Amino acid sequence: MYFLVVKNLGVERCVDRNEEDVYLDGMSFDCRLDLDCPGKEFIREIEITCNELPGERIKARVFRD
Amino acid sequence: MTDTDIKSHIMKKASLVLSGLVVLFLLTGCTSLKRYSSATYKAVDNTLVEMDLFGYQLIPSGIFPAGKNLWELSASAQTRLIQILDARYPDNTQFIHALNHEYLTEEAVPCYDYTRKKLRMVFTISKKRNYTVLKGNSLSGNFSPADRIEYLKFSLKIPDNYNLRFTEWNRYATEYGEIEIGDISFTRSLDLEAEASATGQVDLGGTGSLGRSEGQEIKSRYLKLNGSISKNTIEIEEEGTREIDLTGNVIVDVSVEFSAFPERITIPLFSLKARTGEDTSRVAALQFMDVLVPRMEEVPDTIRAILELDYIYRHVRSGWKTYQEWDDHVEYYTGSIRKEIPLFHREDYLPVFYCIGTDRGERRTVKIRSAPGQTYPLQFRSYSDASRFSDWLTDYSASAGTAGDEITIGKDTLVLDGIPLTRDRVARGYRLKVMPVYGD
Repeated sequence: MYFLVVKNLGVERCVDRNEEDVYLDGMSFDCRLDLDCPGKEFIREIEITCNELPGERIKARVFRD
Repeated sequence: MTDTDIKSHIMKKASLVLSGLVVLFLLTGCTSLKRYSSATYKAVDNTLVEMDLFGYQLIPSGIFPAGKNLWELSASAQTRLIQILDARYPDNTQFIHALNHEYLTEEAVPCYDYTRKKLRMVFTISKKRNYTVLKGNSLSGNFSPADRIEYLKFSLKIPDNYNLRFTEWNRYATEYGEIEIGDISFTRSLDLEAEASATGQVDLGGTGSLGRSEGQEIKSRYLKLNGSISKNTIEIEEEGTREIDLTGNVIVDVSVEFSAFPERITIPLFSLKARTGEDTSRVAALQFMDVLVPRMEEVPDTIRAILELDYIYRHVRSGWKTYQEWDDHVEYYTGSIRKEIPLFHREDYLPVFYCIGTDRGERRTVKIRSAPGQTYPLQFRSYSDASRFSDWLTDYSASAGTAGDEITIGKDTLVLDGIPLTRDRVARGYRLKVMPVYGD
């Protein structure tokens, strides 16, 4: 399982998970979500947008369990 | 015409020409119209002027449209509500407590932006006053009591990594006056509106006195100001006119805005249930509010900015005993300062939200599952909301009911560690407490 994690003001939150690594730069997610993601292995860093703020790009990290 | 008449005529003409020359000399050589007697550029000296951020204030620019309380209602509505509360709460303590309730209507779901702030900065600009160089009527250094800062240009730059930008000027104030700006740039002067006249009296001695009134229709201008604001930088240019020293405090009011990150805040709506003579709060429903908070991966203790100052220092080498500047022999120094200053601190910009969870071992917090795949953090906008909710959660878990029942409020289920919270998990398994969402 792959997980997408954003970090803001020192707090990490998982905003998506998927069985396959589908995460690409520019994808959009609901950044308010706080899913349970046991991902430990860092894969890479990408830039996503939040559905609530489509103009702003933020860093996100892809992990897998 | 006789020779005597011709001589007399020539003498009169020469006298007139001479008088004119004398007047011209006086006008050019000894007059308040002059800036100085002589001026030279001397050197670069970066030690003559000091500038610091003396104080600041960062306040939210939005107003939280929370629910109304009794005291914000109209007179007739207040009367009606007091009658209702009086009927509902015969006990005096309960009645007084009820007067301070807040009422959040369903339509008035508040929305709040924690990213926009109004920033007031008080800068202090001082010059080095080295009175030890005064030796009677002479100077042994580059300081005299008549010295002044004639021009300065300063800028404040916020590094990119803070995701913070200036958005608007609001106000600029010096000891000579203030201007409201409300734009991204300005060019203004601080003037004295009344017109004044300067009069100089010159005694020629001997045959009489010549009274000279310059009658300058001057409009006393204190300062010339330019300012500009860009995403990361504000820049201000000040030039004092005659006898105006730019030493002193200046107040700069600007609006700033962080890049935004979305958050979801929970507002618990409590109802009161009378039980054995005292009130017990019950969570009747949950409302959710989308807010924007500053977007920064980490929480720096201090947000710093780069302050740069260029100045021109007017040193009066001689002529400093008089208040007038026309007899000054001036030496100009230029200088510059560049330093990093603390702009404001984490407690000023960090939203204060609270959550419920445990920090035994790894920190874990209670979440809200609204639907499969839609789990949000349970976070409150105030400690009192979080504390009240936590008290309710503890009471509810201890009350009669099936121990394995999931705790739901409406369609929302409370979740911890990825699985729904049950009464027995709260009552036995965890020591839940209120914790701040950000920071320690």
